[in-house]
Amino acid sequence: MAVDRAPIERRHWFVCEPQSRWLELSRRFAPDTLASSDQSLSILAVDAPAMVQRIGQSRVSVALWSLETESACRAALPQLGRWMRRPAAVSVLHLVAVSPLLDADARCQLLAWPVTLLDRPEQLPRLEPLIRRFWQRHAAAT
Amino acid sequence: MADRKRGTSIRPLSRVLDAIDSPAWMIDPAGDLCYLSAACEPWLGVDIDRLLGRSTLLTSATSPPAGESSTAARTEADRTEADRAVDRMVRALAAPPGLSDFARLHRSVHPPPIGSATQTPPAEQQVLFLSLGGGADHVLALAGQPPSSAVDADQLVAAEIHGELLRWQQQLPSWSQLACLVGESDACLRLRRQLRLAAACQEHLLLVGPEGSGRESAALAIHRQRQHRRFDSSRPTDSRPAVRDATWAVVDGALMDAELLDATLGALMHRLGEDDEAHGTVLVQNLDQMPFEAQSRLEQICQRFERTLCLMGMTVEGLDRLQESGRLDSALAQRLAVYAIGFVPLAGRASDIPAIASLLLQLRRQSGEGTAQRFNRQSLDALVMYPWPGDLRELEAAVRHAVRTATGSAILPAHLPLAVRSYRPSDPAAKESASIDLDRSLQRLERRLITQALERAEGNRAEAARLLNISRGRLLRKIDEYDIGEAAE
Repeated sequence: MAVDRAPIERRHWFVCEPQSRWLELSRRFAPDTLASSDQSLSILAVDAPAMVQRIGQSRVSVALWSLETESACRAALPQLGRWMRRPAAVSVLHLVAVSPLLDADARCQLLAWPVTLLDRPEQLPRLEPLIRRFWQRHAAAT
Repeated sequence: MADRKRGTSIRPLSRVLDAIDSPAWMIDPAGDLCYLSAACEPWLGVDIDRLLGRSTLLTSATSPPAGESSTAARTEADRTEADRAVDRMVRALAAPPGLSDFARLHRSVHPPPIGSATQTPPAEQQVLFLSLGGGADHVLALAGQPPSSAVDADQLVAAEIHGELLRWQQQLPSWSQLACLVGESDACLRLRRQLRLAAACQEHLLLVGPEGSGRESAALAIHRQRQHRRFDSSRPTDSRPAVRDATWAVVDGALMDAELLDATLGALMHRLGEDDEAHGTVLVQNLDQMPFEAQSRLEQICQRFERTLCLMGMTVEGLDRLQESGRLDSALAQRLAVYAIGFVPLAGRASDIPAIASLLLQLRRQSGEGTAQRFNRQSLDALVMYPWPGDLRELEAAVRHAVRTATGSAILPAHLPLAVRSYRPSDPAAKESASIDLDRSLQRLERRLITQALERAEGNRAEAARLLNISRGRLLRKIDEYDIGEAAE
């Protein structure tokens, strides 16, 4: 049995999407990525401009961008690009949900950035070790 | 034409591609253009022999193709500039990055002109790039292929899952009906290895997993594989006895006593006593709920038919927990300790759910039920999100329900059971802020203080009790209650 610890810090998980598909999926699977029940997690839906602002404010966060429709792509891709050009002052893990029919140019652009692509929702639980390591690395750094 | 196809083994395909009006080209694994169809020449406005053999990769050295060296009339500077223009055009025909990951990608291609500025540039084309064979292999590019709106993302996903299932069924045909073995998660790959190993030996087995996780069907599949293996290679085909299910018995441990066990296994024991070649298997459901006298009797039966009877016990908890809580006879526990197979709950392998559901749908279709051929993406989302407390059995029931309800070719969320389609996970932050349970909060505080005191006292419990201002006895009871002894020591 692990020693009980006081909550260290609230962890943030932001979802940028036109509907609530990935928000619900995040609520289902994201709590599993926390190593201890003492760590709290907030999962929030935000629009593309707010996303950049929010991940800039929090010290550590997961940002899930949904680029599954053309309009979502138009709104989110420039914001994501803007974030990628900034110096890495904060720790953000970017997950990008894409449609199998995503335009090849957008896909090429994404491949050039340090993001993790998700084609299907069932891939989200497979990322659990990656996200867990991301939280742990941050906890060790602080 | 022979030059155009040099270095390739695609002659039958090239004849077909030459006959169509749309440009097509092929790139070899090294990134060189190895084929251009006849329609490329009018489109690009250049002799295609000048492009063949050139590299489409940006970083490669630009080498002139064969035949180019004879243009001695031009100056070296002119030649280099012309080469560069040709290279720019060839690079515009390159396969998009990431193609090897996705097998097919669409991209618009707009090559720059080679000749003078007054020359009309080649028209922009929508091109479908296909990776032939995946990985580092030939790439076929077909121009005039805009992304088809008729093929939606749903159909692509369904085709991908179908392909995954086909691959699995071809790899393991003898296990292809077993839904718990479908998938690519670590838990599934481990289970697959364990079951194959179990089928290859004659050991007693303990199948540990939640109710409805497919333990029964896995046990039956192992028994059948063992029977087939036994009668497989040693005898000619016509002399092999058929697999006889008289050697298979299932008992529910929760309902058994010693007498009833004898009566239930009577036929099997009689058979094993009479036929020296017969091997039997007893599957005991709810072994952890079986009364001790029945467990002892089962152990005696196993001892009597030591070489011909195989025991498979199904439990929810592992052997260690069962022995700790004294719910399993020690001799029986030793017998079953040889090989235990763990079944992970479906909620713990959510990535496998679409493939499992598709297999269950396929099996329903094979038995002539319903018209549905696939799940649409929203219904797969609902299946992935639901926590499946009833495990695989509940998923089977949900698919059965959906097949009966669906009228079209796709299963929609409306066709799924209400519990599945209406499930919405709650916000963890809301849950946390809503939790102001006094007892739970006090327990957490108490546990934290005890842990701190033990850490400060370096594990000395008497000292920790003094620090907490409570008696040592009370501290020991609390340590036991909160199970924090090991952590503190």
